[in-house]
Amino acid sequence: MPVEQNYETYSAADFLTDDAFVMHQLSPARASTQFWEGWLRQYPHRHPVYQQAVELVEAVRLGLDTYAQTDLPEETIRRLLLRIQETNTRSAVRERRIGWLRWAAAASVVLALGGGYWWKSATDHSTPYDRQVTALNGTPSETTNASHTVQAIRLPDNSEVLLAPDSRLTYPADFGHKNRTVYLSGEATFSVTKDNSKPFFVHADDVVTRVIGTRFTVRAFFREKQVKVQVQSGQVSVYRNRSASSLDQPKGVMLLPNQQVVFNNETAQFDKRLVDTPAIVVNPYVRRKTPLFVYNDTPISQVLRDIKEAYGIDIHYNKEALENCQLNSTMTNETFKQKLTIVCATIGATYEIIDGQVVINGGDCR
Amino acid sequence: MNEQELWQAFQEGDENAYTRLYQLHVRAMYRYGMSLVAASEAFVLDCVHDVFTELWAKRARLATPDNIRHYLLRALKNRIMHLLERKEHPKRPLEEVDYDALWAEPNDLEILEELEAATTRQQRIQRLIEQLPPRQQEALKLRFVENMNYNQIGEIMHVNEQSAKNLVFRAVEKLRSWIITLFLTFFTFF
Repeated sequence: MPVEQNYETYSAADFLTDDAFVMHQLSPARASTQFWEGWLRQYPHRHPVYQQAVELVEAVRLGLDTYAQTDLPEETIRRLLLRIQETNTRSAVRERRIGWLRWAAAASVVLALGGGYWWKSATDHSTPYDRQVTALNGTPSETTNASHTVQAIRLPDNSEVLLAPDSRLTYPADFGHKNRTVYLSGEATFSVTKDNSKPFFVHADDVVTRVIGTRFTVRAFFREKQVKVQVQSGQVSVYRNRSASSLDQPKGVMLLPNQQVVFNNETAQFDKRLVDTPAIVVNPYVRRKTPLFVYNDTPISQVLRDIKEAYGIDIHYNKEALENCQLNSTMTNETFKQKLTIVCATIGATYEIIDGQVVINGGDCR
Repeated sequence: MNEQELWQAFQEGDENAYTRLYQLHVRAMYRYGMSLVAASEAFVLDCVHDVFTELWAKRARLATPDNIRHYLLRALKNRIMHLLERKEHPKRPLEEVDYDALWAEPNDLEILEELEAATTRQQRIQRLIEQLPPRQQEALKLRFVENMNYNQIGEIMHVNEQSAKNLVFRAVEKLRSWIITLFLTFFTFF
């Protein structure tokens, strides 16, 4: 809980040197939300500075996302653990010659338990959704879509939810008072009204998606044992619900338009990739017009830049080798993948999608 | 069982608890270690190995840390610095604090060149952060990714709490001024 600070005089950068503020941005709790909302009510004229600070945190987090996602393969983790255990066994033998057999027996039990140890299987048959909704105070509003068509729901904050068949959505009685939290079982697409002071949270199984104002889809049918989040516009972060496993840090994934993440309930891993059919990103903040994709002797680098910017997806290629490549083609109505196929066919290259980005292999026009 | 209880179980010799602690923190230790010495993955993994085997050997004599992630990152950094000083720097190394002063601040033109190849907002900010002095980057990572408080960051970086805050303050002010002057002039930021 923040101690009484003279926040009124804080600049945006000052807020970022305050542990209470940063902690609230990284993992908001009930008490901290109460504190900051109260503070904003008390000092409404400081709201713009507070807002700048919030955006700075988001920017720094976005810039450090590659660092946060630094990957260490499971195989390396496993081998390193074996090495550590070997060293421990050896020094145990040195220290006390008797008793090492007991240790070795215990070590083999650890190994036998293997990966399955990490996933505590739910012994009760209720779903996370049932448990979360039951725990809510007051009378929550629940919508169940038992029909065969998508059902539109308007939330009190004017956000729109398109609820897929066989899906349920609940929001608590105090929705919008402190923050905006909804609970989902099944699939829904959200168009969230922008309100920076009240982030919007979607709880689906043990996965939480946090947004400010954007359009995205969450799919979490309990029987599918996975949760999928796709972003159509804006930026969202997705992380595990901490109460589900208090030991795990809220390791999250940042999603940009045309990216999706699949959370596998059994391996507890996030897998980030492109959506199957990327769409051109319509962004109200950008004055730039969507390109027409009509090309006459246009350098390939220009074509690839158009595609990159329109879809917000990175494309990597060998700039020198493709320097003299040109394209004559109209691709206005082609999909993202069709456009890439046309480009690659023209220059004799192939493409693959790795980790949410496009890599163009080969091709030469020299 | 919370993390502290897990730690105490490990201290009593519970290997499952020990393995669980390893699984919980090895990724953060790896990425932090790699950001200190990116050149050698094997070296960083060796240091992680050393930290965990030493924990096991000394388990009966350890206190229970308030923040275990913080404790492990600090132990890892100490191990890395200890080995680097012994192996590669026979002479006394530069005081860490002096290092930032030697860091030449890039001018606007260099920043622009750096941003030319970046196509997404994420890449642009990432490249800007990479232009900051290494210790400012380290402080940003510890505060905004590892979620350490400034007191803990100070302990890891061997400075007091106020200096840790100053590192982040200078980094954020620099980023903000770059974003404002460059993006408003030359790019659409979103």
